[in-house]
Amino acid sequence: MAESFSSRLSKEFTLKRLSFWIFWFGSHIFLFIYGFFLQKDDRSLDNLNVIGFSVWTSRGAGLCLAYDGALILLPVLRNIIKYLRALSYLNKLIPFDENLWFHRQTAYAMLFFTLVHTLAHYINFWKLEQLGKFPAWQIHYTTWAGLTGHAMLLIMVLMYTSAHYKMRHQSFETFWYTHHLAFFFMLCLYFHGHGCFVKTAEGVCKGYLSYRFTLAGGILYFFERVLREIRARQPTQITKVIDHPSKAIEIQFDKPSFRYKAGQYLFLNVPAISTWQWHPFTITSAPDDPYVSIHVRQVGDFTNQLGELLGCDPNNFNNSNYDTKRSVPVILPTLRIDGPYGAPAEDVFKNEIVVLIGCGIGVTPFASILKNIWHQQQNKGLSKLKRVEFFWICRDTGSFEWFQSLLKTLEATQMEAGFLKFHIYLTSKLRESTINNIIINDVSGSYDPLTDLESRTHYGRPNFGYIFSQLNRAIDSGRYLPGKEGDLNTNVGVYYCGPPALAKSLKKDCDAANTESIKFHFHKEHF
Amino acid sequence: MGKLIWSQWARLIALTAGVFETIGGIFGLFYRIFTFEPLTSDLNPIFNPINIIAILCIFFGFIIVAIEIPVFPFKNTFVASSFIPRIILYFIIGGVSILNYQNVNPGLYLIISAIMYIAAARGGEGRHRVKQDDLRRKLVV
Repeated sequence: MAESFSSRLSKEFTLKRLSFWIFWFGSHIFLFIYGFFLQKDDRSLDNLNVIGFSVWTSRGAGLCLAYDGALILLPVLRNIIKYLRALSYLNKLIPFDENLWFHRQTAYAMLFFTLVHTLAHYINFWKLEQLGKFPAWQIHYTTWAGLTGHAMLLIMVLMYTSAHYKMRHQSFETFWYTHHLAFFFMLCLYFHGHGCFVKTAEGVCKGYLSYRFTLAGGILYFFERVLREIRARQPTQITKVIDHPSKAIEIQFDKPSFRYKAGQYLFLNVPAISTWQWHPFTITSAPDDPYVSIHVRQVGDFTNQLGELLGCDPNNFNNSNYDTKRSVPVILPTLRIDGPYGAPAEDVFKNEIVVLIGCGIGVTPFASILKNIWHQQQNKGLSKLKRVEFFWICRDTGSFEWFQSLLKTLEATQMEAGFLKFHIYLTSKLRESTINNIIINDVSGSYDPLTDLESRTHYGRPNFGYIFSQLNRAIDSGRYLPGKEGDLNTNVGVYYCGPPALAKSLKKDCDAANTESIKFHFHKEHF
Repeated sequence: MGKLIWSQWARLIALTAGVFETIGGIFGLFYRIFTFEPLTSDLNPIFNPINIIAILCIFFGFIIVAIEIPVFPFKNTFVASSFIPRIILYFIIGGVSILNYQNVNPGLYLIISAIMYIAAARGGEGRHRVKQDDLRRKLVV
């Protein structure tokens, strides 16, 4: 890890994180102690209390597991999260975009208490055998609790190992399919208390009846999956496919039932490639466009196959750039679309000053937003936005073509000076011929030779620390946005989509540029 | 997206099994019991008063972890670089550890891991990896 220990430590102790950790550890410790003494001090359960410490421990951990079992499915309820994150006051309190992080924390807590619970039970059953009550093997392998417990342990081994980040990156499908063992896991969890092991001497059942809490998440998740399926089955028709250079394809389709906001994303499934695979893509069209579009960069198996199906085979493309006889598919594949789902970028319009930073194909959410800005300007629709700084960091020149027409139109139609500024950065090494081309054309032309925009292309990586501090100074002096002088509180929204490494340094730069009255708020896309 | 590398998954499961072999073995020292006691009590002397299988399991756990990471004494040996030795070893360890009450589950996971390693060997993953290792060594030299 590139992150040093001290910076990691300081990250964990920011107010938001710290309060979460206090709540998280506090609630677990409380439940553990509560469950522990609930068993220990219950005189009617003295038939079990003869076992001693291990049975109290297993009961305490069991209560924590019921708690985690009730929570584990909540962060993967995408549809509910989509509606909750739209409530901005709640979104400020609970970072809904970190849902999968919370899912992992719950899983870690679950793992820990599973170990405590299981090891304690291994002692419990051994002691019960020594006390001459039941043989240990009978409790392990013939009771409901024992059998479901062992099944859950095995499922956990398979799920946790396949969810290791290296496994996920190597083979996402293995992770995704194995994770569906969660269905059997939850089923086992509901029946884990069945048969009632925690009984008084008179046979009165005194278990936690934990299915009362854990079932709720399961039912909600079931309806979530049904909803996803129903939405996916709505009629969808591809209307246009554009083969862009640098291995990107744009798919435009028509789906009347699809309603979305700029900056949101969707899940795409192509039955012709795989029945079960769903891949997330950012929507690149604006709600006012007559179609919905996504840009797909051909980097993996799925995206390459999709390209082939649509007649945009990247290998074919390189060999025969201007071959008009390229095979065009007669039948276009069926698309199944699930979504839209919320992403930080949809909140761009709630800011007055925004800095949008896209890396490579990470420009897609901002393309949607820029299109939306254009539509708003055309329709004289007003939004809160006053200033937009758009950064696009690209490796190769071909990538510019993806949204070239959009950027050009936008630049040409700007009425108010300074409302929208483009900053385009090219990071790759250029060929000598390209450099010569730039030298010849750049000096005299009023348009940039690479992008054909009025704003000049920068070469190399942007220094965001400097850019933010300049922006801060400009706002502070009132030059940037009149009426926004330093004595007023100003919030600047920084939205980023790209590789995680830059996200970390950007976050640091944002924090460094913060002053009393001018705050930079950093938001990044998760994928 | 991507292709499943069976040995990658098998390794993680084997590591999990290795850790629990040791933990189960330690518990087995104190809570001694033979898994198949209801079937036969002939083997009870191995478990009482000293649980020999549990001591073996602790030892096995260290061996498995040492093979999988890999560290001394298995680093750069054929045990760590090919699949067949560990498939055989894991089946044996798995079979033995199932005798101990606490080591049934780790034994089972180890056998699952061994089966995955078989799939890896059949898919020719080993050869590929050995080639990569060779390449790396050449680059370093």
